Amino acid sequence: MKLKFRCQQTGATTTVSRNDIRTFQDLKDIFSQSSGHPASSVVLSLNRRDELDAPSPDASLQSLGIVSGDIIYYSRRTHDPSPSPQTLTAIPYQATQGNLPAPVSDQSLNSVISGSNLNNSDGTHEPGYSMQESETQEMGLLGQVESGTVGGMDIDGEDEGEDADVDGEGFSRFSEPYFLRKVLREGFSGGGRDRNLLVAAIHAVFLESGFVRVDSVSDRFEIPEEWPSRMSFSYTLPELVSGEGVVQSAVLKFQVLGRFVNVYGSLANGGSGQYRLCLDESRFSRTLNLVWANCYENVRMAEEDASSKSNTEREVFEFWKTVKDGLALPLLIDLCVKAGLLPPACMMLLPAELKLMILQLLPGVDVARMGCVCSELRYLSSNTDLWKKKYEEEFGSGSGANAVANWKDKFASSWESRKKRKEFYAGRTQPYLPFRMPYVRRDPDPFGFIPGMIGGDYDRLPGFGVPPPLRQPGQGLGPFRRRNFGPTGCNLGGSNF
Amino acid sequence: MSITTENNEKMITLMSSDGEEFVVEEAVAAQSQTIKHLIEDGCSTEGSIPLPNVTGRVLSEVIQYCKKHSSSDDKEEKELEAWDAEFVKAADDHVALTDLMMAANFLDIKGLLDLVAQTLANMITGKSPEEVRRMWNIKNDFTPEEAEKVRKENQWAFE
Repeated sequence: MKLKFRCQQTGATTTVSRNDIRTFQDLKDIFSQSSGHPASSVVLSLNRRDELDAPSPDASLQSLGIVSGDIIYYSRRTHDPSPSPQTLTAIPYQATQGNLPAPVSDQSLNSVISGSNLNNSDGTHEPGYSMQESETQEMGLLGQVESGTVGGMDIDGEDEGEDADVDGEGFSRFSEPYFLRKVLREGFSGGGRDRNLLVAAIHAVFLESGFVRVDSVSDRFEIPEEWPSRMSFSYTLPELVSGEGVVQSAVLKFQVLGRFVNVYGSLANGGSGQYRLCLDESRFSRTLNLVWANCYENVRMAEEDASSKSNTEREVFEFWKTVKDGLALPLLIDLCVKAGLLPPACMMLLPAELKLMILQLLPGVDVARMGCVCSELRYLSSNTDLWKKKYEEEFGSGSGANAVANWKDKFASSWESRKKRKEFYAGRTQPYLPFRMPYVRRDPDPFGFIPGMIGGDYDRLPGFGVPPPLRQPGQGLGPFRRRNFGPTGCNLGGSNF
Repeated sequence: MSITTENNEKMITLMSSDGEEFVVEEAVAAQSQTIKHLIEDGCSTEGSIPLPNVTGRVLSEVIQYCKKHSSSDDKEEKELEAWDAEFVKAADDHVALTDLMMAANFLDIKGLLDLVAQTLANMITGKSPEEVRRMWNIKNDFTPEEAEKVRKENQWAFE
């Protein structure tokens, strides 16, 4: 059984892989061994909110719902008489409220992109840029508690290392469609695992496409652990729900053939084609499990490196596209036609592939604007491959391309710094705002301004970057007039105009 | 373009989703990779080829495009480009264009697909999200918080 212990405050993670963990008591013992904290001094939790507790120490982990691969969070108990000196002042205790460590506000202010991530309280648990930064900071205070190797266990040091790498690049916060995560987080109980996860994910795509479920009694999305022989869900559109019940609906029927799940979709009263989708459970289960696990996460999965992360993104996109284009959209169109409703906006009816094709033909800045139109376009327009292409079109293929985690951020920062240069040459002076600094520093092409200097006198003064001699009053527009252009582009408000 | 029709080319009958029939030369129909494969597989020998995803209105436009492109040589490229421009202009409104794009995708006519996609992209370029929403009748499904967040994220594209 493989388990991870993760500190709620620091995110520090210890991975344990042992075959002899069976009972709750075993779990506690392993925890104290691996972390050095007595198990009684911490609160263990699976979901960061509810304390993991068992009626007896001999209760099996299975009965507690713990399976291999789970992450177990721990946080210090409030009445712990001997808190470790490192934590005493550094971190306010927050664990039992299920709160997150408050992002360090200074840092969020310093970076424009991180500013949007402070709303952890509203329930959108996006892994946040600012979180990462504060995480790194606190790691410095608390991380050493976790270091060292305890017999048979490896310590995940990746958290720290990756944070350092990712600094400045940010990472895509919308790597999975947020609706998928939302549905899974709010409605999926976890029973039956992989197969039901697949069904829940299909459900998520249907909700995102504008459907509502007809046959559900409660808000929660329950899937029986043992499937009945004929499992089906009915969906309709909010416009079609009237007082007398539902006029028209679409039905999804599920059928299992080995590792394949067949999904048949048609209108309840006939009158449309039947759409069939065959999904390979084993293909998507890893990805969906990751997404599901991430629902409760505000930090990235520790073991994810950049390539596996982008693989996950690609797989989720593939899944979403398959279900949306193969089932949700055709049923939506049929249902609208049958019920005499106006189908949704025509562009949104295009298959994802074609929408992406249009986005690919747009200039980068328009792609970003399209991302502000609606949630689906936001998801489509955050595609990493798309932004890589846009970046290359606009700025050429720079070096170190492999290390880039988020091409959109890279594009945005290059865009900003180029604009600044343009403004500079256009003669407009702008006060230099300190929080813009990171963009300039991260310019992937720090010497890109040289061509822009043609016609200037940079070639006459070999000591480029050295402050120019003081201008003589009344010298006018002499040939040696030059701009005070430091290597980091500081002092744009120079007085040389 | 009618010069080539007099020789004894094999004719193909295409049937749209609403039952309209179009008789075209094989060379014209084979501009569509989908139809070409159907012909190769021998689906065209008896009766007409049904195209359940394409309405008659759209199909007639597609055939117009295919006719032009099968009868033109490469050297007439300039003229063909001008014709293409006129062709998409005639289908001016974006609803017709999206229908055309779906059909081109289903029928696998790369030239037409590229042409329509580029036209749609040109219609979007330079528009604000509000304008795009109005133009395509897209519902803004962001909550106020999300809208602000998204806007902040993409602020650089609006300055």
